[in-house]
Amino acid sequence: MHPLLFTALLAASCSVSGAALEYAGCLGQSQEESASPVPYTAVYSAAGDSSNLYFITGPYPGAGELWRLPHGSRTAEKVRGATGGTLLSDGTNLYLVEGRYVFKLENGVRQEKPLLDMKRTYDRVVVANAHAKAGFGVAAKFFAYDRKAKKVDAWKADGTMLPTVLDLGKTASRSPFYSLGYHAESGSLIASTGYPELRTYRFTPDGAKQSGNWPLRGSASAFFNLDGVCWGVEAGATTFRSHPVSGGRERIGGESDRYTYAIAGDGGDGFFLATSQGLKHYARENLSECDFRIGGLPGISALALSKGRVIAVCDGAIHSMLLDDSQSAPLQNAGNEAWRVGANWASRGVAVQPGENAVFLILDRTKKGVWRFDPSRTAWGDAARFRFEGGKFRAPDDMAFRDGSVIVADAGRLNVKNDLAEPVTRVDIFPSGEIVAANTGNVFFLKDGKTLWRFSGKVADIAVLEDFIAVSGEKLLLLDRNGKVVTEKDFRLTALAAEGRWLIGASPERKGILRFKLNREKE
Amino acid sequence: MKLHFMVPAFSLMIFSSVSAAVLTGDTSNPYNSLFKPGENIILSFRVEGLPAGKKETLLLDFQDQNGKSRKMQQVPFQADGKGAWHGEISDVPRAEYGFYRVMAKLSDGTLLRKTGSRPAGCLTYAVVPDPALRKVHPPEDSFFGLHGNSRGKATLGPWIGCRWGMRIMEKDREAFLKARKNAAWVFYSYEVFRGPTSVFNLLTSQQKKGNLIGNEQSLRPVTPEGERLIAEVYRNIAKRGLDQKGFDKNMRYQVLWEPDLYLSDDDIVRIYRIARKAIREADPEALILGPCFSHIGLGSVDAHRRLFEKGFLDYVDEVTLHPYIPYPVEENGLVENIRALRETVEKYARGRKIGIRANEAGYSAVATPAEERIQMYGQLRAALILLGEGILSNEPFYGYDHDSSGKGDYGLTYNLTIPHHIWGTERVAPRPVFPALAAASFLLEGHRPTSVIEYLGDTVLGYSYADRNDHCVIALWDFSGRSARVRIETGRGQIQVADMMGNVKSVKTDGGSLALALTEAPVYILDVDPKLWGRNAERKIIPDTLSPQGIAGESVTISGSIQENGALSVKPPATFRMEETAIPVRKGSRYSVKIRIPRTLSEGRYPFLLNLKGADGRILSSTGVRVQVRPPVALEQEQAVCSADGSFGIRFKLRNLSGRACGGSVSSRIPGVPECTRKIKFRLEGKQSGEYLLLFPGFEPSPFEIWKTELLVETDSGYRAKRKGEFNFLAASYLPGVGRNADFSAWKTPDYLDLPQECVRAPGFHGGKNDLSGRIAFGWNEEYFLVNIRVRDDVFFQKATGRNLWNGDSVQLGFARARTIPRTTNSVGEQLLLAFSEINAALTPNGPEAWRAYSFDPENLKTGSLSNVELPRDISVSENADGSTEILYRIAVPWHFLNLKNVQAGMSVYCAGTVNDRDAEFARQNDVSAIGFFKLKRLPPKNFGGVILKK
Repeated sequence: MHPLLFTALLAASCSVSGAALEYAGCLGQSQEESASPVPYTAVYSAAGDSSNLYFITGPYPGAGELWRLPHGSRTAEKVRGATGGTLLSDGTNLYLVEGRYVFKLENGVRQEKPLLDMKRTYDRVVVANAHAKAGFGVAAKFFAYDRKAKKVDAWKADGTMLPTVLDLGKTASRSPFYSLGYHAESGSLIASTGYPELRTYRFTPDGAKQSGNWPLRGSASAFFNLDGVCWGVEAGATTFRSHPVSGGRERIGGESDRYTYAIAGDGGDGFFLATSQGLKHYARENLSECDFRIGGLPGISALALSKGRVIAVCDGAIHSMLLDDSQSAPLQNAGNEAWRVGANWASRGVAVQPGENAVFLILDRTKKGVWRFDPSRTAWGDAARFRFEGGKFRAPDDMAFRDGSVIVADAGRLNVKNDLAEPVTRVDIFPSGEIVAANTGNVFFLKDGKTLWRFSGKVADIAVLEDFIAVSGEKLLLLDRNGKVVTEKDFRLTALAAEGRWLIGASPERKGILRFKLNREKE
Repeated sequence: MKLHFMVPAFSLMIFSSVSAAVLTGDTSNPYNSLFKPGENIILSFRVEGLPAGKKETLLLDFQDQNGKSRKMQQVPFQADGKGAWHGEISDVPRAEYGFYRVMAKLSDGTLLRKTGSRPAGCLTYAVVPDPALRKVHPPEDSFFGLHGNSRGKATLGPWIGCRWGMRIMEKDREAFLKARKNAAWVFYSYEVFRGPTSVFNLLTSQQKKGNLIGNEQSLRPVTPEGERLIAEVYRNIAKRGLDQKGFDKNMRYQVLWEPDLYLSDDDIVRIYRIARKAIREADPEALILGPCFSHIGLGSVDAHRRLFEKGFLDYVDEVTLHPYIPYPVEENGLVENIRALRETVEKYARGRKIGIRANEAGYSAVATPAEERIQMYGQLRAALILLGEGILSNEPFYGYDHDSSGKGDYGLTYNLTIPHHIWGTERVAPRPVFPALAAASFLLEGHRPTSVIEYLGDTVLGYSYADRNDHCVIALWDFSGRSARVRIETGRGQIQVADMMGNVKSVKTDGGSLALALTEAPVYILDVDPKLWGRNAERKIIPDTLSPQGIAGESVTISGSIQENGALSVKPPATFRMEETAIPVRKGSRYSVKIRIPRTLSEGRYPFLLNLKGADGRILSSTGVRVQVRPPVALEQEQAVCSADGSFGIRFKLRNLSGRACGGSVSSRIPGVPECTRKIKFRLEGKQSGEYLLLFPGFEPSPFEIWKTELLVETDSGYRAKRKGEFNFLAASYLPGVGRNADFSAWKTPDYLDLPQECVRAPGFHGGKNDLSGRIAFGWNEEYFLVNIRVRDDVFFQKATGRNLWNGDSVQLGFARARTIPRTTNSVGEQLLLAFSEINAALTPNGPEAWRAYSFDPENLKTGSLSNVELPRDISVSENADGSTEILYRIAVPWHFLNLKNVQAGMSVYCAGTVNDRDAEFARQNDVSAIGFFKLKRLPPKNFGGVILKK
């Protein structure tokens, strides 16, 4: 063993040199610490009754969990696991569509026996409002659209199937219909066409499409009736009234809500949008700006912190927050719409670092290069928001910057002169130039290319925090420049990032980001 | 493989291709590229310098004023044996009125050659109303003019509909008739005494000597003989004018030009008195115009008032003005200032009716689409406002670009002969503003204002205008930069709406009510019902106030009187979440509608439409009010503070505006900084105020950074209001006695802060930290605001003195009592409250010099040299071991320089500055480079930083 190299044991003494890490709350997870975390980011369906809002959150549509959020509360509770379906509301009752079955929900509990067996699955299922007195709703309760057959089938409330009520194949539209809605205000069925036409048609029970103002500009992937007003969702929500006055269509949210899957009332006069970034609340006073979000933030592969801005790279998405955000603050700048930013982001970010002029550079293991992400650019279609900047790596894992130079851990090796014999996958650097590198079992401290010490223990990530090294793994450790454990915290974290006295870490348990402040005064 | 690359290497460098080819082009009207609707337009292009026989493609993109592509075209061609090609394009967009920018380049990247001030890569043309269709109106009904016209076939007047402009008197009638030969375009004018008819040029040096002083624009008599001489010139010109009336019934004489820039009020009044007498002796019917002040911004209304107090209006028949004002004109107070000026004229006119003319104003726009859009919106909306506010005429400045740099300036057109032939050019091409003004004059000439439409939204403005036949037009726009949806009564089932360029479309209304989405581009609603909007429209609804006030959660009453039987409908904005209210009303009665303001409604002005409907449902009258909603608790006077232990924070005042007790909380936030998230509770009795403090322990801000702050007020009743602000956090130490008698010795250990290293001037001469760096410390005591700047400079170079001392190693410092203040029409008061001054200091060949370059109070705090008694300072230079120099500036600024007397700890004052650096003579370094703190030269003192007086 090199005389300057020694192994520090994980059980080394704590709080040696007068610094402590103070836990300062969570980001990206809306639940209180005492409550179970919401495990996923996206919310694919939502509907409410007089007391609660129910939503389905999951990793992808069709696989999720059913949660309940009491009106006026920001703390949700899990009602049911393994729920892959869509929630429907007729204004009085709630229904859950799962595969070919429609179930009634009573206080969020799915009834054993399905209310309706459609005998096969459909692309869209909608429900007429309770006590419908006009149009399609007089004869039928449920309507289902088969995109391939271009036909809408219908069932009575008692489950009796009716002959096909609408053949969309007979309508001469420029693009195929991809969605279906029940328009409670008129009792009509409405359906939107896809790109490039992007219009919404209204149909009367005789199968005729209505003229006049219809088809309306704009399309929606789903439609919902709230207090008699029909809303369509796509990126935010827009009204589809019977007689829209020009310039009079209300709108909730916008492009930052792409994709919106559902809209529901909040029990008062506000709204919730079920989106790919969570369940986003909009108060009536400001329908363009989300005021809080319900959801978690799992799967973080890399974190960065710069000038109070937090960047979290998740699988296929980049989320932005502020360090002082509340736990239920909406996520900003989701970089998950590759076509929107024109950069074809569909890759695997393993490290993110602040660059010049408030941009962030993301190291991509799949593309073996670096992306430039500018969170300040939020305009629709601004291609400068997200650009592939290049780089030629073999299997990059981590990077760090100092004085304009970048140190990369690539295929287990650092791109600077060093004496490391073992492969490393994590790297960070002190402002004074010392490099800290790590693999899953060791932390190495290098000065002028020479390893001065090694610390052994389980390591997920490392981050230089002022004069210390934060190490995540089975516990959160703080090492000093000599490799001694200064303090340890009972948090299991993965990705880390630090700025000034602040340290953030991704928590797989809390499905969010935990904040810590370095406190030197506490000896 | 070891990779070690620099971060900037991520930035991809793009090199444009190098080609020897030259691409030129023009339109089939090469004089001014203006076309009538339906006129054939042919573009011709010529390429030279290609390899012989080379196949190439000409790429064309026809864009509108917003850069929106209307058509793209590719024209493949093959160069001839000499490497040249010539081609014509005839199928070009021309169906609509408007501006067309043809982006033209070859596929190898060769751009269309820059021509004059028209930038490389494009040519332009415009389709504008046929001059032959323009009607002639008498001068009192004519408003649109033009300042500066191109010559010959390039003339712009008929195309833009110019009926007003300046003239320069010809030598005699014969010359006048010769000049006017074939002049059919009716044009009203005024003599400007410039060029060959200027008083300065018409007097000999011998005559001027001892009798008059000053140059061409500042010439003023100093003896009775001098007064006699200039009177003689004015008289002679007016005599000539009797033979040169042309289309003018009365000759008009503009005696001086922007005299506020050159002459004292007393001299202006004296010269006008002399000129009026002389001109009227020659032509008793002549009209005298003045004073022609240079802008309508902060302070100019007050400058007029001071002049009028000296009896100036006795010597003029029409007031003239150059209403230059920054864009957006509405937010910068054009409307308010014009109204204030009108009131001031009326007040001092002694019962005479004196109208106002605008005879020069514009925007200097470098030839980029972004600046040209500002020029277009600025000129157009200023014209609509000036017409709507009753100004007699308006002359956009200038017909064509005339800055020899050829980058684009004030021109409404590109000057294609810059730099060879600037004045009187015969080749121009339109910029976007030109067709916009041409459309406005085509649609509105002959019309005069009938009402102001201010009640449709907080950022919506508009006017109704009517001609002598009561043909009514409404112009409307939103000046926020966003869009606004509004409704307005037209009295028509179907109405024509014209866009900014004059393209008309027919729109169905909802029973007369027209829904519009307004943007910064004005729209015109043509031929609205004169019963609602015309000259004789009876104002059948007369609100008591146009801006009733109420508090969120309480109620407001909209009231007034009615002049016709019917039903009055009150239509609230959607944010009030209430239905339209209709009440029966009788002629001569009063109406009163109580409106409940939602308790959560945010502060602002909300438009309510008032329509009076007859028994048949027809709208008899339409107007509106804007309800001013105020918060139950107002948050005021936010200020950065620094506690004794060095913690920064924000202090503010809460004022309970309602008569009831109110409680709640205030939360602070600086986004991204957890240390600044704080919350306090408050409780205030009705109408009570209280001062509160939120401290941020642990917050360590960088001192020259501006931080965005948020204060959220939440009342127990559910009202929420977020106040956003911008603060820096920087403190000055208390240093009793320092600065007195220029003694700074007690300031032993200044708390220096590193100055930002960013170069703020002439970066080409800045060599980084080794060339120039600095540190600064601030202090204060009861007598002085103290600045201590320690500069490290590789070369000390200062050979200038006095007013030019900034042009060597020096500091330029701006001080102010406030950064911004609420706008008022009392501009003198505003200046005193801001108390902005600039003081420059340097160690010059004359010693430690200081020069006041700008003063908020020129009468009492004059610009010029400051003695060591007036401004105690100590400036020294020493040499460092490495050969560089250390310049130490220690300056004590007396508080009255900031219009302050009793300063106290906790107050903030505002400053900004630059440290200037010169390393060589002007021949080698033609500007000083500089580093600085905050922004001294950007709209001072708005971008200054605050310094907290800490004790």
